[in-house]
Amino acid sequence: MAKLISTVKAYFTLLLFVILAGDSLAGGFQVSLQGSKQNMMGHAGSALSLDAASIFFNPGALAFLKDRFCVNAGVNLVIPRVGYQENSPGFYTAGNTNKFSNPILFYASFRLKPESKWTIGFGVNNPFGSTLVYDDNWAGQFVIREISLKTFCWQPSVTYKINDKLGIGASFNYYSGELILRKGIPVSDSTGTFGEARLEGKAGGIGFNAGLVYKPTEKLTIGIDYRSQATVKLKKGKAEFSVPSALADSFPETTFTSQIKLPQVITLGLAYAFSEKLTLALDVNYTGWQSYDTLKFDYAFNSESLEDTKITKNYKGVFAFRLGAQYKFAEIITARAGAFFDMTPVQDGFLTPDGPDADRIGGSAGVSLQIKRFGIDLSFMYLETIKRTGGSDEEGFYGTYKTKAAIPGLGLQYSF
Amino acid sequence: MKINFLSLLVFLFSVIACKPTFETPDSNAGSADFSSYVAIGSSYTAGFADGALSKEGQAASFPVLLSARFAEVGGGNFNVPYLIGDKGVYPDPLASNTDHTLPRLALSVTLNCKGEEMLLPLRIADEGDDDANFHNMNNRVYTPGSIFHHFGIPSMKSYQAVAPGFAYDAFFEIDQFNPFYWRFASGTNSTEIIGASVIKDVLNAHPTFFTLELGMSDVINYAIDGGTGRQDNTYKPDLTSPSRFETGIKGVLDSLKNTDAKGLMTNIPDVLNFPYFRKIEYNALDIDAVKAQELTNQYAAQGLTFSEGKNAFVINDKGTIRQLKSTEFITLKTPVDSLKCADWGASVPLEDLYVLTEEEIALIDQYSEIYNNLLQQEADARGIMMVDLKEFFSKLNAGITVSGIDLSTEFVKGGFFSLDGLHPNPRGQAMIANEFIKAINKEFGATLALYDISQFEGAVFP
Repeated sequence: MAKLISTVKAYFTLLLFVILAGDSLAGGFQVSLQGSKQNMMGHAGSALSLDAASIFFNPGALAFLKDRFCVNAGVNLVIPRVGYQENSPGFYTAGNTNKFSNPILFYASFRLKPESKWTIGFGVNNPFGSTLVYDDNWAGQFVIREISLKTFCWQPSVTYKINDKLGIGASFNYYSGELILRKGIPVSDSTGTFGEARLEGKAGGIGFNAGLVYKPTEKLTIGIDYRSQATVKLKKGKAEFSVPSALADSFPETTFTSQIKLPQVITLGLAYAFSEKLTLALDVNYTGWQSYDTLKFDYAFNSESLEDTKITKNYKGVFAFRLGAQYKFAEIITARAGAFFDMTPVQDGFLTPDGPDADRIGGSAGVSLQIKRFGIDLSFMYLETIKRTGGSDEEGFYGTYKTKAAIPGLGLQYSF
Repeated sequence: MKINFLSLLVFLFSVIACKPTFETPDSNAGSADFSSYVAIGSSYTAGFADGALSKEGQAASFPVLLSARFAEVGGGNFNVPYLIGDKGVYPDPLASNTDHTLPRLALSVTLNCKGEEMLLPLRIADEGDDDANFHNMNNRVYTPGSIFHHFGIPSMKSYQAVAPGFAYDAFFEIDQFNPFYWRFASGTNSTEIIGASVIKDVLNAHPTFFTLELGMSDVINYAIDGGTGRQDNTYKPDLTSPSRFETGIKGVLDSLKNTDAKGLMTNIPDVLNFPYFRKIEYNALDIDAVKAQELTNQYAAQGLTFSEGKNAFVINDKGTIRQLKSTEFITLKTPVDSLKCADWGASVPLEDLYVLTEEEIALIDQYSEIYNNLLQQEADARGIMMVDLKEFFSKLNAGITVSGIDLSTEFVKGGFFSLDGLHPNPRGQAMIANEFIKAINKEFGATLALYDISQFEGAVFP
């Protein structure tokens, strides 16, 4: 046992040094991997008070968290596999490279006094992100070679327990983000090498998260959470172009600005405790992806060859449905499982390889072990998109896409 | 122990997330027999690009691309009369015979006549590979028994494909000699070479499949030379008479019919949308007030007036001095330095040779339509599928995006045409090859892979 604990500690330490990254795992580029226990339950959790991850799922739920102090840290290993096939006759196929990412989560909550109505908390996670890398010479190289979008959300929170049936909470969300984008430029030099544009920049923005938990009966819990839209502004991004020397004047290194409106998310959750051991949870998310209508890069320098980039995204608002169950075998061991259906915000005619999204179906399962104050969560999620044929007229790039991802996750908890 | 277990888990999970797989088709020829494919055509079939025919251009030509696909489904040998050397050849229009040729164009950073640094298409060296290709009998690529399959002969007009003597250099004076054909025309002595014709050599290959891209030269040669040629005559810049055109096309198709070869043919695009005719704007004469006054004074007799800023160029239209209309074109034959520094189009009226007037444009449109109707008529009569290049180029002219590449008929920037503004670059050739592949898949029930055009070069910059 001592050995296990020291191992756990080693992991804890390791987690703090993990290079943080994000990956697109829900409709659009939302990352639905925000709680080690909730991940096992199809990422349902707005009506559950499982751990400090409620700061993300519903800050109101912290009012009913048993532990006065709870720290959770976790990491998921995301191995996405995107497959592409050209339209008829369909000889050409391609896929992304093996680059994986590891979105993290960290939450801490603390009730001010053992019987206090106030709970404060702090969380850091990667709520949005996308990492896709294709071979530089793939058929869509002039659409995208690499996209890497990472966001971190830093959220201090406060929760107030109004009575034994009602809790409310809110957090302030500060988003910081990083974008790297590479695509080919279809001009070549005498060696036959195509040009490339590389954009890189850091961004920041603010928003909030507010939620309410209501327990009309002993067994039923209703959770409502609202996460606001957040405009993340990217200033002084760096745009570099590798082009044949004769074109260098038309493509100088320049700066650019851009902004992304992260969508608002409204969640309605239900949880029903059939017994001490068995609880079912259901979450319905509505994500206001309409906010992501265009992606613009405004270059400080423009030339005849280098015009501002404007990509029409035209996302639509979508629902996700998440169902999860937990079964507590004993104090030390709890098993969880769940499934989800996550609709894509990408509309027909706007399907591009930088986010070849489609409706997603997934399942998850895992086990939590609790040894005194230490807990460990081992989870596994698997998802697939429905095979989707389409493309973008703007890019003149069409085909069939399919994505699969396996996501093992590890979470650690210290609570009392 | 625990750590090893975890790493094992991670490994297992990575294996589970295997790549999505797709069913891919197997290539097949459908009802087509590609065992002897023959390509007949003019510059586009030849792979003429950047103002010359080069080995590189030949290798990038759509028939060579097609033959590679055919080879996967029973296609036989596809013998191309490749040039010798890498510089390319184009008979110097100023030379009195083919002994002097020009090499291909390349974009180069250079100082123009005003001392401004410009990126311009320039011939890569003083001389082309003429020594190796055109000089004497020993440099012909024909050897006894040679069978060729690639009959892309730059500037070949419809009727020339069936005309004996096309390889007879004594016919140079009457424009019925083509050195590109001479290089590989069958024959071991001059009598045989004189008697050789493209269609006879085609039949030597016992074709089972053909592509016929003929007719563009019948109209474009006239346009290239600013409409200085005549109607219904047979010199290089002349417009072929419709009856001669019809006889030529019928001659080729009838001969092919006797072989039972199947194939496809093309129609003629609206050549006047090519950048060669559109690059220089009719009113690019940009002058200051003083110069405008000077010109107004100079042309007082003709009643021409000029103002500060952009003005229409002045031409000598068969003796009439006038300014260009907005519907008229200046060709890329015009020396740009002369426009910039020798006052061409201003105090020195442009010669008709460099300009397509409204009258000439109308004639080009009229003949293109006649030729296209004849081509369609012959195709329909024989049940041959038409690859609609006219439609393809009309879309290109409107601007299209393919695989993230913006393509148009714009000069250089449009990404499709080579530096001569008339012929496709390798990317353009691949796109044309794809048009053929789509047609073959449809017409013959074949399953052949398209080319991924992102792998082909467009404009190459220094």
